[in-house]
Amino acid sequence: MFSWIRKGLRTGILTTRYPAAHDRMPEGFRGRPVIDPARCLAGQGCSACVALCLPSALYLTRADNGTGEAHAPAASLTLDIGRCVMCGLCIDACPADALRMVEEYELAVTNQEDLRVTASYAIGPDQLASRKENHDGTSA
Amino acid sequence: MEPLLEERTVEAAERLKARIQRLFGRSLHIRHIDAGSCNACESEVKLLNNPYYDIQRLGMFFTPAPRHADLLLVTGTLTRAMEDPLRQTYAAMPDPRLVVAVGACACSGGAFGSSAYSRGGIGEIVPVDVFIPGCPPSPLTLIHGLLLALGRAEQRLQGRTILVRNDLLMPSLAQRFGKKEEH
Amino acid sequence: MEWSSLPGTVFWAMFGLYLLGIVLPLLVPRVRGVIIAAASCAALGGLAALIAGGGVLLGVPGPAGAIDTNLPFGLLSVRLDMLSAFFLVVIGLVSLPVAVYSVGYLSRANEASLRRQQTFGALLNLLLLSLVLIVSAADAILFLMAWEAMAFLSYLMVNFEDDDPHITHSAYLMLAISELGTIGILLAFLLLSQSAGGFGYSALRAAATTLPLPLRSAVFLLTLFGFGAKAGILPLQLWLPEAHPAAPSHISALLSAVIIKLGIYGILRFLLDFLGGPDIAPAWWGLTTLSVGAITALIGILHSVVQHDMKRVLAYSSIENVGIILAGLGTSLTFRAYHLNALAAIAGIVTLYHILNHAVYKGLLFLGAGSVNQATGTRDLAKLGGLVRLMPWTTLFFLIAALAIAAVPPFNGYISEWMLLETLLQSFALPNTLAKVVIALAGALLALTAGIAVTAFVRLCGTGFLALPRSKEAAAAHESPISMRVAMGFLAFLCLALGVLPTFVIPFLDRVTAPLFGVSVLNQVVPPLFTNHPGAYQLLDTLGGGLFGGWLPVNGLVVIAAPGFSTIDAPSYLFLTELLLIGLLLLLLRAIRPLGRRRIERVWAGGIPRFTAAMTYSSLAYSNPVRMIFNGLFRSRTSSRAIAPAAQQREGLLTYEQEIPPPFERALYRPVLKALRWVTERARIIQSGNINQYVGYIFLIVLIVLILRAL
Repeated sequence: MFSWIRKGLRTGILTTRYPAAHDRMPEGFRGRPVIDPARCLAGQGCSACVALCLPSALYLTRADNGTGEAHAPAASLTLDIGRCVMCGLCIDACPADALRMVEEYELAVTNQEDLRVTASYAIGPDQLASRKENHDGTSA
Repeated sequence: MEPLLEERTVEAAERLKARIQRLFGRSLHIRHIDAGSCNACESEVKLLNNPYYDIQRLGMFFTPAPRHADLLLVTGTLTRAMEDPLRQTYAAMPDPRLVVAVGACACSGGAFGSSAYSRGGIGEIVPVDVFIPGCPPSPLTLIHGLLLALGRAEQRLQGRTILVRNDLLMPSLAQRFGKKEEH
Repeated sequence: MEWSSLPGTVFWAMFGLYLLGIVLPLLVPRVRGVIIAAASCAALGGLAALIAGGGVLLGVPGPAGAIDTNLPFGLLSVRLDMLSAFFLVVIGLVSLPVAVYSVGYLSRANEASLRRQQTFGALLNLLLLSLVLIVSAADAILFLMAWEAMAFLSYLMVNFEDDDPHITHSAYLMLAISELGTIGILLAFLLLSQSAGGFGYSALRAAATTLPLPLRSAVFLLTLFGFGAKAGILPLQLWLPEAHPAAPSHISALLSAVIIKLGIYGILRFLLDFLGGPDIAPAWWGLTTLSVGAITALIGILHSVVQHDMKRVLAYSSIENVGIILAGLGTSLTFRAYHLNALAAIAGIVTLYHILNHAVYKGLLFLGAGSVNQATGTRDLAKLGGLVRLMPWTTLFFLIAALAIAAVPPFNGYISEWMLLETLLQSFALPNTLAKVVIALAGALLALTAGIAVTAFVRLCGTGFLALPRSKEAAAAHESPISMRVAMGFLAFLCLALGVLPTFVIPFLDRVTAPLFGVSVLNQVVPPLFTNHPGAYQLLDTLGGGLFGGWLPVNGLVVIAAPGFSTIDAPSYLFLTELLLIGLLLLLLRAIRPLGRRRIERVWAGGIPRFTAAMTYSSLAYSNPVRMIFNGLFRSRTSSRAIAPAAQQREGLLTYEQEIPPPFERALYRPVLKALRWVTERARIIQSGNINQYVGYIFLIVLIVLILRAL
């Protein structure tokens, strides 16, 4: 028993101090992807990340509501962290470097809407007005 | 750009916090149920009891009986076979009770999505109070989620829709000006 | 109307009623009429017994009578003294509901033939007649005649369904051991009457003082053996678990509640009345009785826990209670041997109270088991269950009886068991160390017995009545007819009344023990707080403490188990307090209900799709801890076999059997039977079949008699 106590005293406290203090994550830890809408080329018809995303965490809504054109410009691109499996394929695939992984780990939310970031692409001021219906519950 | 959904999120969080903090104080009993998961989330949940993460210092304990539980921790996309057991487990918990969905599968179906065998998230069967994304979420993420459920932590993520004016900014211009907006 | 002559008149009318009950059923041509006729006569006879016995206990001088039959035995006399009156009350209290119950029970019985119902109805009244004759007989000959009649009649009554060989075998076993006991009783009477010059009780009582100690001890042992065979003490209990379940249920109730008590009556009559004078009984009589009682009680209840037939559980429980009664008697004898007559009288009161209590709740338990058997067609605990919704009244009454027998307040079992343990604790007053040690050990065994009794009855009620039905027969159960419910309800009410108002019962018991022990202990057991200290207990008085103080011999509502001891009990107040607390709790819940929401959900069973009866706790599993811990006492035989078809070694049947033999079966009965068989095989030499040899025997015997006459 005493050797057990001695060993415990020598080892010291191992417990993380979270939430009192932030913990450091290991090298290469994948927290969540973030999107920079200004760089993203979805508005120009790019869908490289969407094609690769297995759980459909990244998805587009089309401007023309499905005429079937593969590279038509998108109305919006949504990144849903709730579906993301943090595989990182989208980050490698993006031609415009619009996606990167951050080491954030405080990801919990109280409602699912907060897991979605949508980049909405307005093509022109007149088409902006008609685009309003395509958005989902958002206002300009 | 203006975040657009902040108000609604903050309201919901405040309400949850007020309700829960009053009732649970500093002791929470968690019942875990595996609604068809690949067990990666279970491996992370299991680490919560080890000396490094030690949720017992935060006043949280795992309990096998839903009758004794305050919070239901659900992993896994909801397979058809586990729908009824999940319902029964939730029904067997006395009020007040919370539900936390752990992992991409429980939040939205994750890698399995919605099909003949899997419902794609538990939100249709039980009312979920906190969603913890990740595949699997690390134990620190889990702790953050549990504390959020108790109102002892703040939510960091914010959902938003960002309007990007493509007619004003061409990609080459954006790159040239070095404008980097991160959201 | 002269009230004081009512009991006497009713007593003689009772005989008339029973005789009517013998004749009337044979005349009625329809089955239902027969049943009602027999039951009415039996019920009215029981009522008459109750009134007659109750009247004598209230103070009316007991009726007496005699018939001169010109036989060389002397007069056949009948006399109701206090002890007889008490047992008459017990017979009346049980036979009344049994008779009412039989209306509904026999109407639905499988045996519906007119002949059989007529015979059965007549025999029931004949049996009850023999029972009242046993307790009211005042001489040995009438007693023995009635005793033999009872033994034979109960054999006939157990044989109601005589096409089942198991039943006939059980009934015959009962008769055989009963006759064995009768030999003992006969010898005991003969020994006493040697120097008595007559067979009347008063003559026997006088003769007991003149007998030398070895003969007296022989009488004691013969009494214990002879009446013990009827009462069911170890090791003569083999017939009881076979015969009581085999009989139709109202006869089982009569057997267990009344007829066993007649064995006890015989023991009481001998040891407290005939051999009851001062300095007649040495202390070892009491200690022996106490030890036999304690061991009987423990072994009885242990075997009760492991039975799967409802009625066998109850039969072994009867053995246990007989053990408790004997333990009370043994304590009484021990105290009396050391001249502590007050304590002896209190122990006597305890014994009598337990006799009364056991009659009431065991009768109710058997009637309840009969209801269940009739509704479901089975008595097997592995097939019952879920009856609480299908048969709510039966379940309620059975539960009351089970609580009573497990000695839970506010029911009657609690009073007698508590008083018994308290009286055992009084052994510190004894001068002899060995006696104190024996009493202490016996007390420990009895406490263990009480605990296991709770287990046995929780198991019986829990697996038999609660949860889900384990078979389709149980699922198809229906509630019993009204006559059966009324009978059970009456006994259940008695269980409660005897438990809540013991201070009304103890004065009567004191009247029985006072002439036997020479001292009235009423004022010590139920102190008259209000008359002794007028004005001192104002609050209790206004709360009804002095209730009925005027016209019933009741001192108050507080019971002290033994004088000079510091624990007291007030069961009536306890009951009222319980009611008050429960009422307050319900009011409180009703008041705060709006503040909390209530959700009614399914039972949590691990989230399984369906909750079936196979998932509930089985009676076999519940008895497992007791079986494992006491395995040494059970001497069980375990066997397991695997039967696999030759072709596929993987599939097959694995059977596991554990058999718990009845107590003393291998140790005592088998060797005795083997010896008996050996002797009779040798004696077969005499039976040659040759008539000349038989004539030669006759000639030889006549020669010997002539020679003896001449000497």
